[in-house]
Parts: sequence; C-alpha cells; structure tokens
Amino acid sequence: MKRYVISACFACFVVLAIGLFLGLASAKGLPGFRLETAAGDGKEAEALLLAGWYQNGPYAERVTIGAEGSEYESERSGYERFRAGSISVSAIPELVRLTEAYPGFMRGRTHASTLLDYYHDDEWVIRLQASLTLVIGDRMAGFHNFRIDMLDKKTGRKRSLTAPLPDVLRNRQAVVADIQKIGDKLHTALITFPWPFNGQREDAELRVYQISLQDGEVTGGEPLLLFPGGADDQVIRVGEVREPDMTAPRKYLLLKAYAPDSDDRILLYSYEQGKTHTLTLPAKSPEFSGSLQYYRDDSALVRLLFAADEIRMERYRLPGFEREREILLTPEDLRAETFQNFAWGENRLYILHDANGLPAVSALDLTDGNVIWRGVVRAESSAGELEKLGISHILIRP
Amino acid sequence: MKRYLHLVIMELHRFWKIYAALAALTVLSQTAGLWWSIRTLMKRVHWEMELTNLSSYAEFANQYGRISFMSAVSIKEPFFTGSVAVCVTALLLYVFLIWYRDWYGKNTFIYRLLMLPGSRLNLFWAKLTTILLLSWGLVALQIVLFPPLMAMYRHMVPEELALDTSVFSFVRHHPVFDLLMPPHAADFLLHYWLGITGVAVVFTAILMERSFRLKGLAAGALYALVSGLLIIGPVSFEHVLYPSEIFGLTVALSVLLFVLSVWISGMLLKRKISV
Repeated sequence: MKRYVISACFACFVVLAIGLFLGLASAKGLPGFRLETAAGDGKEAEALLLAGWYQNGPYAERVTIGAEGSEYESERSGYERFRAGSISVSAIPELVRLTEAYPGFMRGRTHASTLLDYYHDDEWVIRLQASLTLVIGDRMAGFHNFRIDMLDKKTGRKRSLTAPLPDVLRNRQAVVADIQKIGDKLHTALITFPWPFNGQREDAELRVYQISLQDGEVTGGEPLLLFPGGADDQVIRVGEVREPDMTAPRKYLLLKAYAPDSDDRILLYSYEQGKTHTLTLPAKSPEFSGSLQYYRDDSALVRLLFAADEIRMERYRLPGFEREREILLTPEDLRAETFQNFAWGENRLYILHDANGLPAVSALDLTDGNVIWRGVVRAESSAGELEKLGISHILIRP
Repeated sequence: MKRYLHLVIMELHRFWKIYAALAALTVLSQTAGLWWSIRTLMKRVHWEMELTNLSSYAEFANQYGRISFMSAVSIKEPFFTGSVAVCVTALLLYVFLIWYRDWYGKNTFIYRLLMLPGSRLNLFWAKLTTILLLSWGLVALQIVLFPPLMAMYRHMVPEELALDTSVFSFVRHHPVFDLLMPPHAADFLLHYWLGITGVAVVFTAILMERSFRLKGLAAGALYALVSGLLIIGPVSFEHVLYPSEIFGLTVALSVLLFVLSVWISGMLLKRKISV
C-alpha cells in the first residue's frame, strides 16, 4: 500500500510541477508593446514591423513590434524558430508573397540569386534561371542557357522552356539584373563583368536578350558599355536601384554606379524602346556622416540623403530624369530629437525617430513628401517598460 | 489497466534507490555550485573594490555591471549541466537495464513477468511509462529547485549588484535546460514525444535481440538506425520541402515508428520472446 501511495504522490508531483511550469511560462510572458497610430490612416501601420530589443535583466531579448502587438524571439516555439531559420523560407518580402500564393511553383526556388530572377503580373509568374558557366580562354565547358518556368495564374498550368544563349560570355561573369515580360517576349538584362574582375568601368556591360516565350528563340544581347569614360584604375560598383517590388512589371531598368571620388551615375534602359539615358548626380561628400540611397518605381527616381539631423530627398521623373522637387526635413518637423533609421515601402519612406521619449515612426508619401501617417510604440502594461526597449530598424511586411 | 499500474509501480520501486541518489546529486551539486560561484564572484567584487577604491556596490555595478543568476551559474557551469548530464546518462542506461535486469538479475525475473495473466504488452507500456515518469520526475525536481536557488542568489548577492530574472527567461536562454524543459508547451510535448518514440524504438530493438539473439541484435541495430534516419531524414530535404511539410512529416513518421514499435514489440512478446 505504501508503494502505491508514494507512486501516486510522485506522479501528482510530476504533473503539478510541470503543469504549473508550463502554465506560468505561457501566462507570465515578457511585456507587450504595440505600434499605435497617432495620426493618419491606421492601415499604414499594418505594413510595418519594428525590430529591436528589450532589456530583460541580463538578456537583450530580440523583439518585433507591430500594430497587433509584440513578439519575442525567445518566446517563439521550436517550430517557429525552425521555420525562421529554414533555407526554404525567403527573407525577401516579394518572394515570401509569391511562395505563399504559389507554393507549388516556388518549391525549392524561394531564394534570390545573382542568376535567378522572378517576374510577376496579373496573368503570369515567370522564373528565369541562367546557367552561365565561366568560360576561360578557349576552354568551352558548361552550360550557356536560360531556363524559364512560367505559371499561368488563371489556369494554374505550368510550362518550362530552355533557351540557349546565342553567344558565349568568354572570360566574363554575369548576373541577372532584371527580367520583364513585354508582349510574348521575356526581356532579360544581364550585367557582365570581366573575370577576374579588374575594377575597370569600361568593362562592365549590359546585355539585354529577348527570349520568345513561344519557342525559346533568343535575340538581342548586343553588349552595351556601362558608364564609359572613367579612369582606368577606378573600382566601379554597379548595381540595381532599389525598388519596392523586384518582381513587378517595369518599363525601365535602372542601374547605378559608384566610384570613389567620383559622381554617382544612374543609367536608365527602356525595355520598349531599347534606349538608354544617363543621369549624373553628386556623390556623398566626405563630410556627410549619413547614408545615401536611391529608390525607384516606374514613375520616378528618388535620391535620399539620410542623417540623424536632416533628411534630404530629391525626386526625378522617369524616363527623362527631370527634377520634380526637393524635400528637406529636420527632426523638428516631426517633433523628434533625432532621426534614427529609415526603410522604403511602396511609394513610402518610413522614418524611425523618437517622439517625446517614445519610439515613433513617420511615413512620408514619396510623391509629394508629405507626412501622411505617424505611429508611436506604447507599452501594454507599464509605461516604464519603454525605458528598457530599444528599436533598431524598420521591417516591411511581406 | 490495474495490472499495468501494478507493473509501473513495481518498476518505479525497483529504481528508487538510484533515482533518489540522482535527485540528491542534482540538489547538492547545483546548490553547492551556486554557493561556491557566488562566493567566488563576491570575493572578486571585494578585491576589485579594494583595488579601485570603490566604496559601494552601486559604484561597482556602475563600473563593472551587475551579477546575474546566469553569470553566477556559468561560473560553475559543470555543477549544473554536469549533474543534468549524469541524470540523463543514468536514464539512458536504464532504458537498456530496465529489460536486461529482468533476464540477468539475481533471479530470472522475466520468467515471472511473462507468466503474469493478461496482455504481455503491459510489460512494454509499464516500462515505457516508467522511463517517462522518471525523466519527468527529474524535470519536476529541477523546476522546484530553481526558486530556492534563485532565493539563495538574492540572499547572497547584495541588492545593488543583483540582476533579477525569471526562471522562464533563464531556462529559455540556457541551451541544456531549454532542451530538457522547454517553457513552450508545444515544444515540451514535441521533445518528449520524440523521446518516447526513441525509447519505444530502443525497446523494440532490445526485444528483437532477446527474441533472436545475435540475428536479433543485428536486426535491432538496423531497426534503430533506420528509425533514426527516418526521423532526421525530412530535414535533409529542406531545399524542396517547406518547414510545415518537414515538421508534419517528422511528426507523422514518429507516430508511424511508435505504432510500428508497439506492434513489433507486442508480436515479439507474445510469440517469440524466450527466457
């Protein structure tokens, strides 16, 4: 009998202790925070997440805060942590959207790569994978083709085709800069660099191929010299201008080139007309401690100079690069002490700053530069918890 | 059910001396370890204060930071994770011993067990329940041990130097405790479900060996190996499977393996096992 009682007590102890532990752990969470709309349309807040940390005793707990509340990384379940770290979950919002909408089509290809690009419109999702093995000297090896996978969104039918490149990129490396569907052709922009890279600007080339989506015939691809006329020993970095959705249909391709001690150059290529247009803008001065970024959509290019005490934005209309307006903002304009960080959204610039000691965000409409929304972070329990909270950056939701 | 409960109680009773020793080791090791580490830390604090002419703990905290429960634990980490490792190892060994002692004990106890009326599968369930209860018992002990350890920390570390934290935060940030006693209920259930499945597979392998001796040993080892590969297999398809699919597949395979292990064990106990 004694054994039975002891065993029953032991089992009760186990159940009670573990039950209490799990129950209290779920009830006694870390303090909650919320991004509240202080002015403007509350829907703006739904596009954002603020990322930072909460000082919980000795631990800096990573936290994300949105309109619906906060989520701590340490309080995520094992599955959520596994999901966040999985290679099959993209970190790029537009690819996350595509994966959620078309999981079958996106299976195994959820990441951006320099040789992989996506196009997405009302009718099609198109993926282009370039197989470009480096050919050095006369050694002809490897593949030189494009593999295209297409999904008809209306019928759900998939189709694939392989299109061989008409020319071999000898001693050159390439990256896929952009793909655009125009009519029944897929325009594929490659930027090619010499291998090994010698840093000379006249060596960077743009090649735009037109691939027939009916039979895979490839035309075009004449090399177009990028940013000619510079000093031979200058190291040029060529890249795409940031855009809100890299899979969206665009009329133009915009490339930027940076070089030390040199002006910034923006190159516009019109897919429909096959013409280029260049704009030269002053580089960031050495005295300026902030950051310089470019942003584009299909109607304009925005140049942003962001510093803790000043935001300067210049907007240029596309395709002619006519200067539309310049906007200057100081912290006082947003009733803030300093600007802390920023993020680009769809026709938006989100600015992280403080407001009366509270972490806050303001949204600027890029068309006219007006502040259209303002949000502040509030603690769900005690306001004192905000002293232990630090916000480092803004995330745009997929 | 009654016979199953009798068997569980009997199995628990057979291990109680070692179990009590493991529990005592855990309590003593962690208490002594914490006491020693706080004493060491406080000695360093006093020495540093003397050296730098600091007159108060508050000044020390401003200059060098506070002492958290985590830092106190990490100074003498082997007293904590070491005691846990000893308990885990002992229970892992007992997964084998719980069967083999019935054959190789003083008397051939398995003979009496197999002669008991009712389903022989009760033996399997009772031993599995015992391993689970023993594991959870140590987890429960650790849960009730943390509050007094934290109270000891608060008592020994001056208020100006202490940095409060909750048991849950400590567990979440400690890799070993987070694995053994995850505060997230879903994780807790998943960890122990996979653990139970593993034990069921090992039990089946043991019963294969007991039924067919050398051939059974090879079959059991193969069964355990294939089971292990099946459980970790879905993760290696991460490039084509989405996380929810990997998770679902892992859980489904573990359920399948558990059911298969119970079925094979039942068949072996009923038809093949010999003394």
